[in-house]
Amino acid sequence: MVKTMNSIKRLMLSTLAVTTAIAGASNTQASVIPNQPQHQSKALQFDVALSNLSVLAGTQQKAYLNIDITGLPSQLKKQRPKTNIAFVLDKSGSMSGQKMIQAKQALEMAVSKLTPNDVASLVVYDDEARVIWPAATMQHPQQFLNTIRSIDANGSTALFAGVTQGSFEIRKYLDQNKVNRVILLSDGMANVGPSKPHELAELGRALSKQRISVSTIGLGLGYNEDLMTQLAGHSDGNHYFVENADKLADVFNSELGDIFSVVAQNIQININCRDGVKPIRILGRDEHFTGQNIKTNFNQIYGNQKRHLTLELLLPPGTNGAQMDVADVTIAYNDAALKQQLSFNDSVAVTYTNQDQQVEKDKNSMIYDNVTTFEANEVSKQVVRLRDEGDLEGAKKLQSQNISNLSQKLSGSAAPQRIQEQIEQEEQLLDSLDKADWNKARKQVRQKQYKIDNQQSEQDDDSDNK
Amino acid sequence: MNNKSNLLLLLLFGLTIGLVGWLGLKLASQQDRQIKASQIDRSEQALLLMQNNINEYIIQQQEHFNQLLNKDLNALQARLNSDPMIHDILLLNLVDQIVFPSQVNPLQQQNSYQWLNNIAIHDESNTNNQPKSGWFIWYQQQTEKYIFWTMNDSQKLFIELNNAMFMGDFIHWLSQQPNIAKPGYLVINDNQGRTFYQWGKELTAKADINIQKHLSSPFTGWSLRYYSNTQSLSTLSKGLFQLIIIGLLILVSIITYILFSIKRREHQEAQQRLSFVNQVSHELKTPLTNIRLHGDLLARTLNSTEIPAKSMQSLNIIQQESERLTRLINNVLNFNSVDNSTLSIHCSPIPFSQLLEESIEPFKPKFEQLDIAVIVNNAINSDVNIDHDIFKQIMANLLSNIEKYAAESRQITLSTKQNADLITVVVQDQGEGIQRKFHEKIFRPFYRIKSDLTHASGSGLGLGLARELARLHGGDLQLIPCETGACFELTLMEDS
Repeated sequence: MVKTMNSIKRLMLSTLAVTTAIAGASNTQASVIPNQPQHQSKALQFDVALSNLSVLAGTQQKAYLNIDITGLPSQLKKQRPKTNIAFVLDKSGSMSGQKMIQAKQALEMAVSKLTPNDVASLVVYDDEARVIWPAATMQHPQQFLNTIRSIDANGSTALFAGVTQGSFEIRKYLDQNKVNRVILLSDGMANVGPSKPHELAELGRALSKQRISVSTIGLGLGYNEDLMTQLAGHSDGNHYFVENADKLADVFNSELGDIFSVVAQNIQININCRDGVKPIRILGRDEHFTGQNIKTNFNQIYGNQKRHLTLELLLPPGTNGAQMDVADVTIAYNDAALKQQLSFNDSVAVTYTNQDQQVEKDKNSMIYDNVTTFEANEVSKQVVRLRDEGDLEGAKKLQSQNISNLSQKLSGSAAPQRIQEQIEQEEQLLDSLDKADWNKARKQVRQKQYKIDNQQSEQDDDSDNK
Repeated sequence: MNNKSNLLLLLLFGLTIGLVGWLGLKLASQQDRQIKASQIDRSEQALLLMQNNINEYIIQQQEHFNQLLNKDLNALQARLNSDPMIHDILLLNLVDQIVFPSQVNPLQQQNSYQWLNNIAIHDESNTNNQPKSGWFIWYQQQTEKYIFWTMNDSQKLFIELNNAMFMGDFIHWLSQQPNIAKPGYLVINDNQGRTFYQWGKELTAKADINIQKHLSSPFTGWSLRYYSNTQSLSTLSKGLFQLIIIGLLILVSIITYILFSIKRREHQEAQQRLSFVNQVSHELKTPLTNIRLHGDLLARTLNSTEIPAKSMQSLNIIQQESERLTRLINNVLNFNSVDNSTLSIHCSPIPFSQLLEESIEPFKPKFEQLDIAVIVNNAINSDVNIDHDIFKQIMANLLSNIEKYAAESRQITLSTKQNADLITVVVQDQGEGIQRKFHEKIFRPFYRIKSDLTHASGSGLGLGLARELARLHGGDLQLIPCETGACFELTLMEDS
């Protein structure tokens, strides 16, 4: 059911995308037209649009520049991208018993899905990190499996060192045509080496710079979800919360499914704002920029994944009837199937008008939905923060307000169902705020917040709902 | 006597064990100290080595960055884009104008290079030493920024490192260092005291060895700590030590056993001899009783007038001697019995000179035959109240010994004196004498200095019995030092 809904949504989006793109083209110079064929590139479909085609003349206006990127399922279905995966396994004392048994089984399952073209390595960490299977092409899967079986759990948790060692293994075979990924499985708090969320975020950022993503799997209720989401988020990996170890196999499946379905990598987005336009921030990302030029990137897009990047900006005051170029967007990416770099250009413009009706009519409610979702998500993060600080009443009050705000947005929404889903999600958060199992709820909330921020593939929700 | 020597043996054994144990302990503790000292020494060296290696690592990084000096701006940009370790690069000319990045607006300068103000001061304060490069650590929002600066005649280059990559690279480098911590625990603590990297099993308890070294810039405030518990002895030398102790114990045990069994055999032989003498004595008693009985009968039935006086005298001698023999045998039997108190003393007054004469009388013919002169210096002219038989028996033993063992003597001297109740008789011969080491042994039962068969026969009981008798009589029998031959001193307490 969920799958069908998603495809319907995607269909609606792509129709919209075409219309806005045409609208955009009609408003801008002909220079866009030579780029047109790249819209039909095999891997990705782009949609660059401004939240408002027309704004009121005479005042400074806030608007959003939105870039939708949709990964199209690879047409070369038989040929999935080669992978370079470092499995990083927490084998500290807390992992002993059933957790370890399940983790090893899940790992074995994952490894058995790799082919001799793939590179894999295995790092385990407790007090220190050790590479127990150095990066190599999968020529000897049986020996790899034996290595997995020999792991015993004990010691403390040197998470930073584990991820670092994993990334060093990846780097041995670093190749932009491979999907380079560290898969971290941990059930505990890092207690050896750098262990603050912002430190792991920085590690994630640094690895992302080398096109290495870290997917983090938090097992049980003992891990630090902030740390795990920060690490995954800043390296553009996935994050999973697995309460019971018997779901690990599903999660590994899902993760490998994502990795195998990568259609494009190293998507570099360059937005150049025209003079007078003031870029403010990218929603949900912490890129710092000071000039007119904004650079950011996604590490990869999976097939059937839809990601968007929304830039908040201020438009200068204009006179009635005037047209203004707002920004030029250049996107370069590696097509996983074609194994070559492709690029895409587009521009957006705005018209100034005195008519309120026209402004209202030209609003792109799809983009406003994105903003709504993002803002509600930010509020829910604030709610968690208040709850962490012990201000339960404040948290409840803020979350109630958050929900009522969302409800008000329902009527103007392009996809009310999406808003409705988020309302339900926020209500769950409100309910769980004063529940005894807040620890568990917090991990679930963090995962959902993460998925909104990073547009993690929908398919992962299935395992979550089980 | 036997108990005493056994005790001695046991004492010896105990002492040996104690000595060996004590020596062993002393040796062990000394070795422990040595081992600990050498362990501390080794740990110090290992720690120093690690410290040096870390310094080398930093220098290596610095040299890496130093190469960026005098590079053109495109090369700098390329390096900035490609090197994940470098977060930012700032290049100033000598008048502190920003050369790279080429386009910096004032806001960006304020945001990104806040530390520049501080580093300028830092730089100036160091102009005396003219450093060419250094590290600067800038704290911003609880995060450290590691900034390496290097300069030459025309440029100042600032490289802000990516913290995570720098730390990651450092950890990776550390992981490739050999584990020098064995058997202890080596840990690197960062400037907040958190464990950054560790080797070996964590030691939380107070370790015997606890050494600390500080790391230098840029790891200011970081420390390298080594913990270890000294092993009392290395396994090998511990085993060796135990082996030696056990070996010694076995050796001492064997020696003790051998000595003990020799002793026991001697004791058994003595017992056998004693029981033999006992049996013989018992056997002798019956015919002796008959002799005495029939002697008495003969004396009663015979009329003294009918037989010559000479025969009568012989009969009397037979009777007296058989009575004496009975007493002697009784004494031998009693000597062997557990309780000496069954020996009884029968004192009766007698002129001492007469008693002395009677004692010597039986030996005179033999001495004459051997051409030995007997010189008596008797200073006791009064009667003495002592047991005649005991006195005679002791004297007989001493004189028969001379006859047996000192036959080469030309004369023997008997000197007597009385001091209050104590009567002293010294018998001196001119034989070869008795070595000092045998002075006490000759009194032991069955002890014979020369036990070869060719030598004069004797039971080995005599002197022991004589001494027992003398002691029973409140005196003693001792071998006293003298110029020639052997000199026995007999003392007896007169019964008052």
